[in-house]
Amino acid sequence: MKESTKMLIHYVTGFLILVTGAIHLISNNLVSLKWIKETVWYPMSLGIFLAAVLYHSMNGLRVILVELFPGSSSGKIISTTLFIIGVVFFISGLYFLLVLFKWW
Amino acid sequence: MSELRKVQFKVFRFNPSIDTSPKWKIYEVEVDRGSTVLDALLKIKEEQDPSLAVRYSCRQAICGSCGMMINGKQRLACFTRVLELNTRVVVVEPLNNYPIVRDLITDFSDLFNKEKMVKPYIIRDDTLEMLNPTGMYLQKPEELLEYLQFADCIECGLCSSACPTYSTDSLFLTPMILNKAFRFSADSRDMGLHHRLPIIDSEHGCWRCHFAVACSSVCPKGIDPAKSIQLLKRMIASASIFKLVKKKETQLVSRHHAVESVV
Repeated sequence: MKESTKMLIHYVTGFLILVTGAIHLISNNLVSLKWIKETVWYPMSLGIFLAAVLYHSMNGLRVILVELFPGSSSGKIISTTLFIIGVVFFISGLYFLLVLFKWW
Repeated sequence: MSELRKVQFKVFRFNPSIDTSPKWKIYEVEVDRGSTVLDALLKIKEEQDPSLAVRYSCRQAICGSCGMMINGKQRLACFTRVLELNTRVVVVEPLNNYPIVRDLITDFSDLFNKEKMVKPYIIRDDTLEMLNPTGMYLQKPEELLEYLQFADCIECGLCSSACPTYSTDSLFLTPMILNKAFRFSADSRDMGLHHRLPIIDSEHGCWRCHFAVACSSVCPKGIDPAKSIQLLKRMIASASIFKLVKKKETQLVSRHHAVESVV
């Protein structure tokens, strides 16, 4: 994947974290908007939030590490390791989410 | 004649082939209102210590050879008046982020190697016209304004020395090189963006810029490399992700016609 594509997804996920994070906070703290939690969109927004947070954080970490340890081979090792960590966290997070909403 | 004043110079001294560690030497120099730091350093070299190594050429902020850290900031020695610094002691060191050749001289080879990689010249598809030119390409004033500010770069390397990313990531292309890449990619006559993309849109390319703007604050020519990097990001995003490449159409005017219109 090109660096520009990675960074565009980074910015898009940043925006998604803002939107889905706001949905999560509002539906849990404003009594008048608690009905959001009853809809099918709420667990879906949490799923998007999970994916966005993981991509954004792992890519942020990659950028920091790539700068601290420059080199073509170290870049590949860092990217692959963080990708695997991200996928593991996403699968486990998704599993907990499905169990929580009794979809599993 | 303006009044002479004595100023102390604390100069960094290091010869990697002899010395095991750097040391500081203090010199006292008489300067007047118009004396630059380079004048003072050359006076030290002529009158007190001929072993002091300084690189310079034009003495008028055009060649970009005499960049150094003066009182902790990247400046051109020939473009900095001693008395305007307003300090009793002037601290002079080699530029940050570069290997030291000797004393105040730093090695720019890494920078120039990276510059070659971004192809800092106009690239065109019409090879025949390039090999056997029959005329010249017209450029509208508004097209010139797209890159004019960024074309003033004298390659003094002060921006790259001030760059916080380059201080940790030695493979980062640096503001000077990215500015150069933007200057040519934004030129209405150039068709070479796709040749430069593999380098500037890489892991250590323009996306590593944190927008600290340290580069723009030290540029002696008033260029804004931080801005050119952001514009380069926009250009890459349009071309590489959204495939929105503005087709450049440049009018070729024959030499005969061009000479006639000038006359």
